[in-house]
Amino acid sequence: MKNIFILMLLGMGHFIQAQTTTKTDVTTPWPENAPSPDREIYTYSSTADDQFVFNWEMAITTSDNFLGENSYRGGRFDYKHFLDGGNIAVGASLGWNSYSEYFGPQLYENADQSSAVYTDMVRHIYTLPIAVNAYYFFFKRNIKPYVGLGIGTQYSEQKSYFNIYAISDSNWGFLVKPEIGLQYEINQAFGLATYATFNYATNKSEEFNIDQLASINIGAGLYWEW
Amino acid sequence: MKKTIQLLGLILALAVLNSCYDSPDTGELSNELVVATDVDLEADFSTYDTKYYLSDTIYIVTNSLLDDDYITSPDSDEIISEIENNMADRGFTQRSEDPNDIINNLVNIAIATNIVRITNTGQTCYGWWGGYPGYWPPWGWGGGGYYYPYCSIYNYDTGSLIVEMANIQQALTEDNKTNIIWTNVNFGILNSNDNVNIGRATRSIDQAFAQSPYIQK
Repeated sequence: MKNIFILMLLGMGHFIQAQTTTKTDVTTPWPENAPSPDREIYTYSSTADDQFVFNWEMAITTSDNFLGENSYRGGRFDYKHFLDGGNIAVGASLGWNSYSEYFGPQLYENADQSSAVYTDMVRHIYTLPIAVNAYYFFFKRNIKPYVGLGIGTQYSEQKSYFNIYAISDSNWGFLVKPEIGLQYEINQAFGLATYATFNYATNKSEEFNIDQLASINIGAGLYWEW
Repeated sequence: MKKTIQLLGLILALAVLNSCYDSPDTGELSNELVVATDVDLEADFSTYDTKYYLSDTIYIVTNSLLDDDYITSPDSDEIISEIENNMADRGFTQRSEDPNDIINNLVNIAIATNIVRITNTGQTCYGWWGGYPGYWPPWGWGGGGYYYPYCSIYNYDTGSLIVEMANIQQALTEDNKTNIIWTNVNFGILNSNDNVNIGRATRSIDQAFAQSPYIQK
């Protein structure tokens, strides 16, 4: 984990360096197509073309026929490109969540009840949602609320651990995820980001009686723009 | 410069993804044996004689040369009597240890018990990125530093207690083909203390009968 922090710091260091070398061509503080200045909350207009967001993410399961625990170990990377530097952005996102829940000893029977297995187990789901997204920013001042919609695919692995054994399944599903979000600008390059999405994916597993994977995902993170 | 940024972003993404594919905490899992049962749905236990055959010999299959290949009374007493008590509760009250009772058509059910004990060995390695050397360049990142992976040998025993019921009269009349009417396999990791293992085995036998209510005279 420590090594990752060092990597992150290195990455951010390069970013700051990049900002100082590429942002010198900004000539006018108020682009013509920007909304009229509101001095109460307006610091400067955001003219960035691209944005990268790194988020921590939690997920609340809404399809709980395999397990019902929430995930607190997840994250998401977002890349956004603002069309003509305006209020509409397109991009791609890659997220991950892992859920696990302990189930006490119970009996699992097959359909004709000829076979039965009694054990306790830990059930685990790992999801990797990958989407292309479109966003609409209502305004881009020092706070930037937006709505978005993503479609894509979700890879998922499901596992049951019992005693020292595990059985697993993996599958791909179609993913749709509407999103609302709010960003707060710290300076021209960096800001805070928060969002909520509803992830609905069609991952299916006969083995584990899963016919969909759906969750409400809430994230918070840092963005930087260039 | 933009390319460098994108590349760094990708490296960061992969690094965090790699670290976040976590395994769940399996520490909560009990070390009780997994109890599996399977029944021949055509078997009607109420038609069988109350007298059944159950030897005190438990055969052992193992990949370790030091173990005996069977145990008998008194070492097998706890497991055999657990089966005997459960059978008595279900109306099969007369246990026979005489193989002649099979030949003389005095019993329907014959029960066989086996233990499979396997010693597993392997090696696990630690170090930078799960022990893969060369995944990252060997120069140190700040104070973190790089160290060579090291390995250790692990060793654990797994075992299965298998209890099988056969309709032995059917086997004698139909080409010596034994018809197993009920199979119970209790399996899992073994403790180094055999008393613990026997405790788990007897509890799993109780559970096997509990989840098989159809065994009833």
